Amino acid sequence: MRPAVLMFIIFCVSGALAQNYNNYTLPTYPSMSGGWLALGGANDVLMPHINLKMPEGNWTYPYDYYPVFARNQNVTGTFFGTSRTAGSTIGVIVLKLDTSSFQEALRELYKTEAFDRVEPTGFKSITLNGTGIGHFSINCLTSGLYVLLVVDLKKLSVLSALPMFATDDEISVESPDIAAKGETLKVKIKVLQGQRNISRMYGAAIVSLETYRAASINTSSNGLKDKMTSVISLGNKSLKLVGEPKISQTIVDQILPILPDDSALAMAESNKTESEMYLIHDGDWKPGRYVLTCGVYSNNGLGGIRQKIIEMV
Amino acid sequence: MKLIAFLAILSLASTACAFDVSSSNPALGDKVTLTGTANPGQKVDFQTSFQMDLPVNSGKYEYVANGVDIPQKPNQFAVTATGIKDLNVGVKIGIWISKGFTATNGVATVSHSDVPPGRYDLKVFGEAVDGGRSVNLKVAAETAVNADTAGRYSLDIDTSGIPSGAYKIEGAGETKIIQVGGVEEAPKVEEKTAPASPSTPVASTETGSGYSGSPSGKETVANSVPQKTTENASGGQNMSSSQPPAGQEKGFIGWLQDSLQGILG
Repeated sequence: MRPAVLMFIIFCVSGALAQNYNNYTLPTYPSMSGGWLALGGANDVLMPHINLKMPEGNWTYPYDYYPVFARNQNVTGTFFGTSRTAGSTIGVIVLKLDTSSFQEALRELYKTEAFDRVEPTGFKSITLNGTGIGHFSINCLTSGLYVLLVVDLKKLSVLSALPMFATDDEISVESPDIAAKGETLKVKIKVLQGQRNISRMYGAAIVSLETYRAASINTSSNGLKDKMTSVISLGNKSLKLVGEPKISQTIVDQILPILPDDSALAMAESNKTESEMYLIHDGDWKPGRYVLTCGVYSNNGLGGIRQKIIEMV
Repeated sequence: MKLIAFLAILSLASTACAFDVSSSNPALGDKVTLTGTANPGQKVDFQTSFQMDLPVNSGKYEYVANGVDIPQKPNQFAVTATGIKDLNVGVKIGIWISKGFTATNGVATVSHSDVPPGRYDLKVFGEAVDGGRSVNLKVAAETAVNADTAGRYSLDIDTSGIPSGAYKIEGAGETKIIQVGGVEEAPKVEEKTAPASPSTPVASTETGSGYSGSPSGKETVANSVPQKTTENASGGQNMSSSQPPAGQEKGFIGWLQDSLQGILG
């Protein structure tokens, strides 16, 4: 998305004034009181809106895009504090989430309130300047899902937080920018700097931008795994899942029918660092903008993910 | 490729006793019921295979079938294309899901088991080898049914969406041939030798009732008139007997699971 924008910025307005991480919520507006977090150099990926309602607190990710970094890429960013935080020292912490269990990952996140119980993947201590602004750079990450926290080291409170992905490699996507209805869309995915001679799965999905923007995942739990419910909404269809949302064939089987008709998936497996695939679309797709999402996966983890807009005419 | 479903059900091979077919000349879209007896609770396997030659136009081949009925689980399907550079198989399960395979020595195979039962549109396409005039497409399928406490079993086969022609059904140590979609030409079955290597076009048992253009079913074949052949039971290209083919791999769901798990950590 926004291919011209190399500097992907996500403003994560957290409880700059939050005293308790349990009550930590990302508001949906940019706070004038500071607490902004801007990341540079990330590949921005449009994701569904996610809302979590947990005993530990509520969490809403207010932005459309998630930052994705490649393994060898440093995470650089800027924290915009308030004038009151000018000259203070803050900590920038990167935690890798254990995603074998969705709920455990969330608990792990909330556990960060007691920082002595977590072992950060990365840590930087920076001193904010006279206007409350500080720059930071975190060394390369292995592939996985992370949360980046900006912490007031004196109060041990979270000033800002942001989820982010790290992938093994970077990929490029070649496809027509414009597709005609009824024609098969050819997509070529290249792994730019990846390991050679390993088996990779290449995948591509196309969904209308309108549908993608309206997609949401609302999860609530009383703390018990079997009582957790998740509602996945896509367009005018939704799916309610009870229990921890682990990826399974059953869930995939349930999700496929709620995907709108004007979407398609394609995949291929190859030992090479590139692969071609074809997205089949019927003639009854609406003209307009579609989101093409491409990803590569190997036994080493997520090899890369990238999106672009396709105009359907 | 309704064939797939049909084939899955049609070629019945197994350990049970003889079976009966409700009709030996069903019209396309008719339901065919296989009945028989076995030991109480015994699982009776059925296998079939089917192949056709697709013409190549501008270096590409394509086969489309609409409304293919996938039978009950367990089921297993394999599609093998010979004379190709790549093989792409698309299934419409609400949306189109396609998967590409690179050929080795001109051959690629895709297989999948326990496809959720239902009615699907299918599309097979790709690039032929340089200078190729036709691509041989083979579909092999397998399913099973359990005998009841009295030892009786019954399996329904929906024939809509498959090409008309003669089909071989194998099961219970018995082979039966039915003619689907009317007798345009007298079906005949003649044996050929089994495939020798992946690079050798697969020989098969042919039916005399060639697949004549757009079949009377819902199936269409782009720009061409493919020839359909029915596999010899003993010469055997069925799911359980085929050698691991080039490009064969796990199914979409498995890939999606892996991918999502990878994405999630």
